[in-house]
This record gives sequence, C-alpha cells and structure tokens, in this order.
Amino acid sequence: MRKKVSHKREKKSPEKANFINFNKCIYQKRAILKSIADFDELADFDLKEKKEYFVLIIKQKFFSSKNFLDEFSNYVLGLMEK
Amino acid sequence: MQKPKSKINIKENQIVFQLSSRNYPLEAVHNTAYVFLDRAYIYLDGDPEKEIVVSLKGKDKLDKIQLEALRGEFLNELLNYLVRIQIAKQNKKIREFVVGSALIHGLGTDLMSNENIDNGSTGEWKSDPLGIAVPWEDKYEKKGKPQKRKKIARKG
Repeated sequence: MRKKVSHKREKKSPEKANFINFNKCIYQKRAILKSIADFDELADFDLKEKKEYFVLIIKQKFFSSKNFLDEFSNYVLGLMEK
Repeated sequence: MQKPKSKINIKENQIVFQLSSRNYPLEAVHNTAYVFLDRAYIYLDGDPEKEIVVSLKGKDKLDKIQLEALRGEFLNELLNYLVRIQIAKQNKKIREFVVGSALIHGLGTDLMSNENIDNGSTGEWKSDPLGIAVPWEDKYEKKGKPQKRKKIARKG
C-alpha cells in the first residue's frame, strides 16, 4: 500500500521587516544606538543614515507585536538627552 | 493665537498635529513628550526650525473626543514647560550666584562673616558683578515716551 504523503509544509515563521524613520534634527543618534543595544535580543536591527533621516530596519525574531515599532520609538524618546 | 490643526485617525487610534517652532521650541516638545510616554506612543517629525509634527497614538483605545482631549492635555503640558524654561532662563544668573556662594562658603571663605561686617567691608554685593541689582522699573519699563502721572486733585 502506498503511504499517503502529506502535502502540508512546515509553516515558516514569517519575519516581519518593518522600518521607521527618525528625523535627524529631532532624534539623537546616541539614543537610537542605545535603544538598539537594549532591544537587541528581541529583533534584528539595521540602521541606515540618509540625508534627513536615520532609517531603522527591524526584523522581529520571536514574536510579532503590532506596537513593537511604537514601543521602540517611545523608548528612543525616553533616552533622549535634554 | 490660532489653535493648531489636527488630523484624527480613529482606526489607528491616532491624532497628528503641527506645532510652530516659533511658539514651541523643540526642548519644550521633548520634555512634554517625555511626560506622555506612559499614556501614548509619540512620534515626532518635521523641521525644528519651522514646524514640528507630533503624532500621538493612544495606548488604550480612544474615541475622537478622547483623542482631542489628549491633544489638549499635551498642549497644556507644553505651556507648562514653556513657562518653566522661561523662568529657568530668567533665574539663571541668580541660581549660579547662589550655588557659587554656597561652594565658596563650603571652602571656608565666608563673605558675610562678622569680621567683614565689622571692618565696614561691604563685600561684593554692592559692586554687583552679575548685574542683577536692577530695579524692576528700569528692567521692564517700556522704552518710548515716559508715562505722565495723573495729578490727583485734592479737595480742601
């Protein structure tokens, strides 16, 4: 007898690639870098520097949180030096 | 002053509005944003020289009125910080002088010691090195024509 072959494939965990723009005149690079270091275990980060913005590309590792970007941006604001 | 325009997105639970940098400096906006970090997700954009764009996204689900109220509270807090910054600027010299005096006192040089007073020494307060001993009338009097005082007719 032929065995039934399952056509189900293993679902790959979808890695969401998101990005966020931080205005260079408003956000400090030091605060962004510190935030990246603190969030390092939760996601992969790639920081690119453009003319007016720091573009931060985020690939979430373990979970997909709708508010991850918002939480991250708040965290950066909290680390800003007065 | 014109009320800043706002754009509400109920689906995103978000309100976006612009602030003129002429009225609201970036320092005040930063401080205000810090106060609201626990209540909303805040994102800042725009040109700090011209106009700052503030995006407030409620952490809890908010309706239109509540989002408007959130913006109102943000603006009130902003005013609070504006006043604090202004007062800090006005009192800067005095604060520095007080701290400086405290440090000198800590080193053991007491300007107000009995010896100095007995010797007839006036200390440094009469020389006014910081230029803070300016009468209120001189400091805040409007330049231009001096106002004439009304003569009060006296009976009898």
